[in-house]
Amino acid sequence: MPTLRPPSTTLELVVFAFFSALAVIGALSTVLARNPVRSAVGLFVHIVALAALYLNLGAHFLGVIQLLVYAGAVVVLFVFVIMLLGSDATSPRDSRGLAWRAGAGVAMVAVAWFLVDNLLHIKRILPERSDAFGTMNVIGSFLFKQAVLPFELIGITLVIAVVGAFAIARGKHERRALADPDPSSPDEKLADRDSTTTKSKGSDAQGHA
Amino acid sequence: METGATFWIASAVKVIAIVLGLVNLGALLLWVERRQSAMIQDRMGPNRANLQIGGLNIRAAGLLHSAADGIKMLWKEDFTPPGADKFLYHLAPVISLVPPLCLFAVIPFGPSVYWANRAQVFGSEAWNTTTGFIPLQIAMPDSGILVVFALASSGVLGAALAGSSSDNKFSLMGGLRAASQMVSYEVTMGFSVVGAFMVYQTVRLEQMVQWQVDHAWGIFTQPLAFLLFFTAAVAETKRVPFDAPEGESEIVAGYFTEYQPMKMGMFALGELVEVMTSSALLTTIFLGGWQFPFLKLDGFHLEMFGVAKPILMSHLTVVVISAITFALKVAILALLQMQIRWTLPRFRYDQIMKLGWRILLPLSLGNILVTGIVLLFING
Repeated sequence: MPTLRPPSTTLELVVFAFFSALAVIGALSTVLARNPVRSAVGLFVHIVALAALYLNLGAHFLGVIQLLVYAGAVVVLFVFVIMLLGSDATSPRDSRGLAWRAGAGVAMVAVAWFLVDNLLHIKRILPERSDAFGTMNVIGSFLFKQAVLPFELIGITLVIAVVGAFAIARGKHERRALADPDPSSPDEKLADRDSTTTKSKGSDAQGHA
Repeated sequence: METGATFWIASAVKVIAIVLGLVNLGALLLWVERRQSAMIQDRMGPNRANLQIGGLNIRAAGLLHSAADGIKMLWKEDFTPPGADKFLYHLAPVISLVPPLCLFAVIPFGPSVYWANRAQVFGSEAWNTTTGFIPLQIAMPDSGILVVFALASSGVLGAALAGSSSDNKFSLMGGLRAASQMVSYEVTMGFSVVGAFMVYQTVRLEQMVQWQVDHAWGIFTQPLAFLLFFTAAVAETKRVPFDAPEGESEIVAGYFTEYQPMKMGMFALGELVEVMTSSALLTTIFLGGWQFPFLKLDGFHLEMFGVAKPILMSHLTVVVISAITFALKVAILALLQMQIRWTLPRFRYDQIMKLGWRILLPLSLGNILVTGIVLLFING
C-alpha cells in the first residue's frame, strides 16, 4: 500500500492542484472581502478545499470531520451571527501606514521561507504511511488509548467554556430582570434571587472545604 | 471489488442513474404531494394540464402538471432584486440543492453484483462471492454515515445565505429561523444514530445493512432512535409541521421570498430530494436497507414449522428484487412524510426550539446511555 510521497498519479495531482488553488482563493477572499458574509463564504470554500486535500492524502476521517465541524457548524454559526448583527456592516478601512505594511510583508516572506524549507525536507520528518492510516478505528483507538488524557482534558476545557458562556449570558439576563422587576410577581423574583445566592454560597463553601 | 475500466463504467452508470433518478423522482413527489393533499382535503387536485394529440385528451391524473411547472419556471422572467448581493444570491440555491444530491452517494441501494462471473446470470446457484464485485453504492468511504452528516450540515448554509443576501426582511427572518432550526435538529439527528452505531459496531452504511440482514432490523433494536431520527429528519427538510423558516402565513415564503421561478424551483427540488435522501437513510439504518425478508443471496429461505424449503433464484433476480425492495421502502417513508405534512398543524417557532432542545436531545442522550448499559449486560 502507498507510503508517504508527493502526489504521483495524474488524478491525485489534478485534484491536488485544483483544491490547493481553491484553498488559496478561499483564504484570500476571507481576508480581502469587505462584506462579512462573503468573508464567511470564502472561509467555507477554504475549509471545503482543505477537506478535499485531506481526502486526497488518505486522511478520510480528518477530512470528514473538517467538513462536519468547520463547514457545518463554525461557518454556519458565523453566518448566523453576522445575520443577527446585520450583514451590511463593513469593516473599517485599514489606516495603518507604509511601515506596518512593509513589516508585515517581510514577516510573511520569512514565515513562507521557513515553511517551504521545511516542506522540502518533510520526507525525513514524517513516518511512512501504513495501510490503516486515517481510518476511524486507528484514530479512535489512538484517542482512547495513548492520547486519552489530553483528549479528556480538552473535553473538560470545552465544557468549562460552554458553562462559562452560559454563566455570562445568564448573569446579564438576571441583572436586567433585577433592574426592571416584574410588578405582577415580586415575591417569586425575590425568592428566585435568594435561592441563587444561597446556591452560590454553598458552592463557595464546598470549594473552600 | 472490480477495478479498472469496469469500475469506471459502473461508477459512471451509477452516478448518472442516481442523479437523474433523484431529480425526476423529485418532480414525481411534487405530483404525489398535490394529489395526496387533494385526496385528504376532498378536492379535485391537479386536473388542468392536458396534452391534446388529435382528438385525444391526455391528463394522466395530473402528472403533466409537474412538466408544465418545469416549463413555466424555465420561461418566466429571471429577476434579481437590485439590493441583493448578486454572487451570494445566485450561489445560495446551488448550495441547498447539491448536498442532498451528493449524500446519496454513500447509501447502498442493493446488494453487491458479482459481475466477474456474470456468465451464470440465469443459473440458480449462488455466484462466486470471492471474486470481483460491483457494489450498488457509489462510494464506500471508511467514515460512512459521517459523510452524510458532513454534507447535510453544509446544506444549512444555502438557506442562511439566501436569507442574508436577498435584501429582504422576511428573507432574513426566514434565513435566521432556518439556520437555527436546522443546526438544532442536526444535533439530535447525530446523537440518535449513535445508539445504532453501538449496536452495529460500524458507521459504514453497507455494513449496517449487512448486520441487519444477519440479525434484526434496526427499528426493533433501536425503536426510540428511529422515532427521533425520523422527527429530526422531517424538521431538517423544513416542511410542515416544522415550516417556520418558510412560514407562509407570517413571512411570505421565508428565506426564498425573493427568488424567481427556477431558483425557487431549486429550493423546492432540494427540499423534495431531502425528503427522499432522509427516507433512504432511515431505510438503510433502521429498516434493513435493501433486504427483503427471508431473501438470501441465492433465493428464499423460509423456515416454517421446522420445515425448510428454499426457493432458489438466480443472482440477478435477487439483486433486482432487493433493489425494488429498497425503492419501495423509501417510497413508503416518503409518502409517510407527505401525509404528516397534511395531517399535523404547524408548530410555533418557540415550540420547535423547545421540542428540539428540551425533549428530543435529552431523549437521544438517554437512548445512548440505555443502549450502552444493555450492550454491557449482553456482552458481559
